[in-house]
Amino acid sequence: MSELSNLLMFINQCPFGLVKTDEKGKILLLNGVGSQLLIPVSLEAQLTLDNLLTLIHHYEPAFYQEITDFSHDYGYICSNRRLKIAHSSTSTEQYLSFTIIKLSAHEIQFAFKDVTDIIEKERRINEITEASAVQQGKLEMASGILHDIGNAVTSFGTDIAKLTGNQEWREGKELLKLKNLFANKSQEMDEILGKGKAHALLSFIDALVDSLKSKEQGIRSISTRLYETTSHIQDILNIQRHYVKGKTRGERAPVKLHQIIADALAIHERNLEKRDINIFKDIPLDSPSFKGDRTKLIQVLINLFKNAAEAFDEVEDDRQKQIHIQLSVNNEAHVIRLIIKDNAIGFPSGEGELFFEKGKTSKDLGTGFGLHNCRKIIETHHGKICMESEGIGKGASILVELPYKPEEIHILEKAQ
Amino acid sequence: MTISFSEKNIYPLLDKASKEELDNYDFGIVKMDGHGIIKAYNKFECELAMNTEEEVLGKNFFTQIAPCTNNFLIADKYLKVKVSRDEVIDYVFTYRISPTRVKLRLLVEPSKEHQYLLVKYAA
Repeated sequence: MSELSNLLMFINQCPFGLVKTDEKGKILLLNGVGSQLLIPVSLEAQLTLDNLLTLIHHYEPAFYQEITDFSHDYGYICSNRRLKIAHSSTSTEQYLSFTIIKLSAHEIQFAFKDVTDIIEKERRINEITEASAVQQGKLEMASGILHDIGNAVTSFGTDIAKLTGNQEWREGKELLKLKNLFANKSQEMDEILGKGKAHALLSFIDALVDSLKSKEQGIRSISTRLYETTSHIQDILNIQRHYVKGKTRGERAPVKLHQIIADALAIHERNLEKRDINIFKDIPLDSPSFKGDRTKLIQVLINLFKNAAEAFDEVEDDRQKQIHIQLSVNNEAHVIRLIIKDNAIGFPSGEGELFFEKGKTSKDLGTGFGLHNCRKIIETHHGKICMESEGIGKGASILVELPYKPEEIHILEKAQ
Repeated sequence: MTISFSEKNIYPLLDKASKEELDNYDFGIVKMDGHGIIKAYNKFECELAMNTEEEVLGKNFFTQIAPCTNNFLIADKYLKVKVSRDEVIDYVFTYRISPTRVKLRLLVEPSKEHQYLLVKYAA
């Protein structure tokens, strides 16, 4: 092959377009890729491929102006300047990226390539980044809101706790002292105020004390309910904080059920203590890891403990309230088994499945979560949950079974 | 026997023509297989492109010899959209990196072993 042929092949094999024009844009030289890219573009513009500046002007007059405004005889006119080509026949867009050098007063060199794919990738990355930024912004906003609500609730809860705890109604006691004083001096008071007036005064004081006691009981009752509501709100905030901090975001990560039980109990401890419920735990600390959604599993256990605790609200006798929590591992079936057994009110035998029906929610201060949702979550972990009782007054048991994969244990525990 | 660029029913004539006959025609003839590999390149085309037949035989016409044709207007009609075609289009070749206005006749017959691209200078 001759040197000229070699050179021509070298130029024609160049992976981007090369064009040399005169100062008015008339094409003097053009390589293979240049023709490959520009002929369809010129056809779209219904122009012949004679003048590159005319072609550029058709698509973007401002770009044409940039080129023609360059007043020097030599130099870079632009570098990686993008030109958008709208293809009306296919409703698509094409982008060419130009680097243009003025070679002399009468020669301009254009180097260009098709960057449509790059722009599409940039667009997709920008969309993802923007969505991620919006999501992050929302999470930060949510985190801020949770923080502010938490502060307000904590402050409110503290005040309520003071109100609940410091209810020494001294007014009543002082009035009783006054009553005793008047009672001891009733004869003298009758002489001063008139016959029978001391008795009337003492009756008035009795009525006043009764009224104060009644108000005290009412306020105490309201304070207690407010305190329980505040605790409930704190529970919900704790759960949502897990989501916002990205601890789980619904993703499956290695979890250990005994740790989840401990976390759920810690959140619910106060409620259990208030009801004088004794907790008996048989929980080994070496339960196997499995992939799970920690936040959702904590929600399930909080709901189960809450149901068990509230079941005692309907018990009228003075039985010693107990909840037994037993965790065991069936190594043959590769199943982790959790049993929560209480000696509360129970329910008619055989009706356990009714509690898992949609619409059956927990009581007044429940999370609105329902055993139906608990079952859905357990089933997404390929587990099962059921409840049984021997009858009214005989307590109830909840059984949760969750599978684990022995071959994944060492991997998951390493990840933890 | 000579045939013109616009000859009707040209396909069988090209298939039957010898190398010498192809070299006598006054337009460029590129004979390819279904993948664009050059099987014959006549004298007119060699002069137009400033190549020798030996330099181009066995190479891909669209990617190695004439990258200016590697788009939906030409190459895709041979390699991707395989329907029978006998079509004349105006084009700009860059064999000598100066724009050369040509008319191309695209002869595509998916059922046949060879395809043809004919080239002549535009008026």
